[in-house]
Amino acid sequence: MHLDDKELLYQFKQSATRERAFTSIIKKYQEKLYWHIRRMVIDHDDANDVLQNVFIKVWNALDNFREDSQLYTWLYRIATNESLTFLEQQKKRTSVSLSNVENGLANKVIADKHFDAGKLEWKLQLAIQQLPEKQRLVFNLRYYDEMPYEEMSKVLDTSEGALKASYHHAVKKIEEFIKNH
Amino acid sequence: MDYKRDISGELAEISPLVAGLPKHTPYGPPEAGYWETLPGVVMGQIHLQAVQHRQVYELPEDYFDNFPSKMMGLLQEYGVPVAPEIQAELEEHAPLLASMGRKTVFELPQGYFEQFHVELPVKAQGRVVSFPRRTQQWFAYVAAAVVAGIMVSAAFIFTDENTGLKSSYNAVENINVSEGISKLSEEEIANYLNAHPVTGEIATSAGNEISEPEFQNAVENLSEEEIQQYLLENGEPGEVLPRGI
Repeated sequence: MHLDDKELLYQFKQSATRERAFTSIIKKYQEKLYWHIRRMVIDHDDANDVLQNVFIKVWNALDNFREDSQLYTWLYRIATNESLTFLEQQKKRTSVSLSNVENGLANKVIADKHFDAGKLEWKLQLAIQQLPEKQRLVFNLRYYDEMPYEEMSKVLDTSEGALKASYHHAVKKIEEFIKNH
Repeated sequence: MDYKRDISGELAEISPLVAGLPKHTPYGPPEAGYWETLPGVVMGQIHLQAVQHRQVYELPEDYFDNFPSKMMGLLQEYGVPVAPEIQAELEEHAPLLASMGRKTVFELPQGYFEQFHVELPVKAQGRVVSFPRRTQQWFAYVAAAVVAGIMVSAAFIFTDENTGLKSSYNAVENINVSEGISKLSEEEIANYLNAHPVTGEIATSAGNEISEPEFQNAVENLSEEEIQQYLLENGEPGEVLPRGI
């Protein structure tokens, strides 16, 4: 049973319970954050690297967390930024153009050992990887994490109206892809 | 969970096809035990980061206290480092000089720069008499009036027509003031100044100013007979002295 976020933050600020509280925070949010990152970077090893970086950043910044948003919103924001930074670095490393990034990620989906082109859930993954980065994020957060637009607005620093429009376009593109493939 | 129902409803409204797709992420889960070991792995990274950031090198206690004087000593001993292009130029033109180094031969007393200070020379303070701005303006007006009066008087004296004050612009313009003043008697100048007394402090010479209180005091100490005598000697013809001065 996980402790309340307020309690965890309080214990984190006490030197005697700091590490124990942080371990609890990791256990409470590791899966949610992992899958959010994995859906962006596709590969497990990449997701693992990004997730560890996220928690190291959280450790360094948690003392300054102002609690003006929910803890999980703040964690999602860090995880999103780290994922985008990772993808940006990958682009530079492999010198791929923007249009080829989506192809690269689609290839990673196909390369997954569980991939089955006949199954709808894999088609959905391929469809998601065709989306531009921002639409992909919005779709994942809304569809998989069932995040309210109000929270999503804080994670992505975008207005609710823009997010709703983005989600609408993303769903329509996915529908088009599924129909044509 | 109303908001989750809202999310499903929203999706069905946009695309019934997508709403009907299986929702689970098909990627294989991490290897067994991943979730159990992840917290330990992360804390290990955090501890490693803390160790890396810790300063491992020790510094002597008073290292920076004596650093400037140590540096000066080293520079004196080994010479000031020379820019490569300057050294190369010297080697080209005077190899012997280039090989000599730049060791300073002159000695500097210990702690010279620490105790160094400049004593500013003290200005000689003379007695300062300040003229208020209005008094300065007054003097300017008086001086202008005196000069104008002298010029008019000279014009009166040196014109052919002895008809009183001649207001001819040409006659006034052609007056040689210096010459005119030199021909005026002291009596005539004193008469004019008496008619237009100057108030405020009067500077007679540098460092020998007469203040107004001193002047007033001197005047007050004159007897009535002395004043009457002065006025008789210097008054206008026909002028009647008022009583009670």
